[in-house]
Amino acid sequence: MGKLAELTFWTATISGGLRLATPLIFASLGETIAQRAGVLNIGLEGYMIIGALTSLYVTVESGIAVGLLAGALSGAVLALLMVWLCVRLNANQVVVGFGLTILGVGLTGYIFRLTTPLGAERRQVNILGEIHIPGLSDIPFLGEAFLSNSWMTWLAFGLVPIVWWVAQRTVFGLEVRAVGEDPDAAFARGVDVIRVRSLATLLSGLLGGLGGAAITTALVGVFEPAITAGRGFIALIVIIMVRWSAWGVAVGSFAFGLADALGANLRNIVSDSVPTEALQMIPFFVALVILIIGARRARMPKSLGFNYVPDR
Amino acid sequence: MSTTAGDATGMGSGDTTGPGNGTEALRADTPFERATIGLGTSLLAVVAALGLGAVILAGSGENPLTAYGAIVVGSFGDWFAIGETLARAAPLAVVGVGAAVALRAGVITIGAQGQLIAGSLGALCAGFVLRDVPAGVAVPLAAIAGALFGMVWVLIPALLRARLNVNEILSTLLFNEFAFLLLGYLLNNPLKEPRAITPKSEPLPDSVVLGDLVTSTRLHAGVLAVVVIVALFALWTRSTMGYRYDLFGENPRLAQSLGIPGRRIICNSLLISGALAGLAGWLQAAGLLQRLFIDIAEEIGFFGLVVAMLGGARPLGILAAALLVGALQAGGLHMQATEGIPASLSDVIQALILLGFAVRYAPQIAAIGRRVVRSLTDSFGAVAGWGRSGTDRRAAGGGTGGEA
Repeated sequence: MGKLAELTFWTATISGGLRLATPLIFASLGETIAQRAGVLNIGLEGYMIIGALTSLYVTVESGIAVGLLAGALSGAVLALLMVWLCVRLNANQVVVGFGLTILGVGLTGYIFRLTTPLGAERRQVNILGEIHIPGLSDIPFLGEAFLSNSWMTWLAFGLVPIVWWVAQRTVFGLEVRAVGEDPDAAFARGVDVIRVRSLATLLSGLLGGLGGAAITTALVGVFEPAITAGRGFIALIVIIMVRWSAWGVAVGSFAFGLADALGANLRNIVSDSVPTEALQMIPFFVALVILIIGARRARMPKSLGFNYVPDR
Repeated sequence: MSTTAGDATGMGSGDTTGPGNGTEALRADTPFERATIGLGTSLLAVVAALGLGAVILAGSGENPLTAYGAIVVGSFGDWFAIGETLARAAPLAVVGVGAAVALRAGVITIGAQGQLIAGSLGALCAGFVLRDVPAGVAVPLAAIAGALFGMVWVLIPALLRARLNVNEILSTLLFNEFAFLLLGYLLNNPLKEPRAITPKSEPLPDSVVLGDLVTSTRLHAGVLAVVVIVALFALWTRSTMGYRYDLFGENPRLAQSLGIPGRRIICNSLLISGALAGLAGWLQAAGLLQRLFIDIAEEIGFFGLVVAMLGGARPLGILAAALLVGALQAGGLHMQATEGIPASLSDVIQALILLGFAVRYAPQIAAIGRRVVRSLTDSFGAVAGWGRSGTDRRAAGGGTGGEA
């Protein structure tokens, strides 16, 4: 237990937390945009897992840049189904989202098993290494804990201000928030509600796919069935907690990543006295507490989950 | 004629489709039309999903006919296959009924997975206590224990939803993780069978084990309980109490103004769904597997919700959907064993069917269905002299003119 007082434990936990937060940030940022526009993507898990498989398989063939792009696009393809079925045809968002999750998990499981028969070697990539920033990364504790990340993590945190800026300072952002709060009024002001919702949903597909890609290319390096392990749903929790704010997504994702890393690192120290399963529960327990606190203050976009049916 | 009902679900209220249960009533003028549109679009969704599945199979270099042939053989080919299909359909139907009770009240729960694990633990505990009790007493008590454990597992999410408005989809999902990890701990430590390599419990005592109905199959007597549960659910949908739940699901504000207690309905519908998921856990533990394994819940909890959605949250629909999903899963495993085609294909097909069913309720699609059925009934009616009379048709035509 003495190790808990050691600095190395905490630098490892914090940098691990940032790493584990990376996929969550991508996914939650995209989902924030979609939910702000009034579209609830329960299928986020599906976007993520298909992005995870696609990016890994393409990276093996064509390198990381094409791989990430393919991962993002594959998420967008599933989101396209969401757009077509829910935004255009007004099908129930929860049912379709649930269907897309099963579709994503099933399809990736099918492709993985087909390309990886029992005993065959799994496709594998080297996970993205840390970037060493001269000077900054050398700062004792702070540098090691906070500033030695892979560029995927930097990219994730870099996206946060961009999404904030788009949401708060651009016409598109205003339209997104308008169609999420009151689509009728937005329509009356000349906003193409269906178009804005479609774009927002596609963005959540792109970023969800990228979040999945972050799992395989930056965290694990291999694919296995159900590798997203419910992170798509965790992202939904993060969004409730931070009240649909882009900056909040960064904080909330980091909080969850930190809990995840803490559970994993504690396992090395106290596994004799505490069952590993109890440590594995830590992040989910944190998520539950977060969910309860978030619910008390939640003020969701008013038309979240409701389709827009224009006058015909 | 526009959007955003202020209520929580928005289901069934005209053109608005909200995050309700996906069972928005098909608007049709006669029961005959409703039934025909319902059946027709259901079959269409299944056929379309199988067609897309065939495209995926062909695209990945497999022969769709071989694959589907193996699925049919593995689900209905012989008595063993039929037994597998029914034994898989049974817990799906039970979970589906529970999910349907909640869905009808506008509550969505994906916590059946965890409640099922809790229920299987309940059955095991009952088995240890009732080792020397006659089976006639022990079996029902074990079932009750399963249901109680399932109910306990959903108690906290139910209270959180009713009191603090904590999203039940996400909280029940977290409780699935807790249940899975708890089971993992128990099977690796106190419940572990000595000398076992993989984590599994000791066999359940004979007093609580459900016997096989047909020899050399895995079809156990617990399947009979499913018939009872679906029958009870059919009564529920016709009862005053069930009507209150439906009303709350369709229009919470109206229900509140009629003095129907919303919080209690939310809480109770979650508890009922938890009890039924727990019963499904009992079916798995005391009937099919007769031990506890780490993957005892498989994905029954999730697919039980799929069954409820596919079945339109109605009794016969749920039975049919459970048989369909059970057959696809049993057949999928057979296909994997004999043809080497991954069983995940079954999941893909089920997802596609679910998506097809979701669109089926979309206003545009329902309108097309109505038009098709109407033209069919009209032409048949002209020939055979049944169906709608001329005046009715004009009236109906006037009614639909505004919405088409």
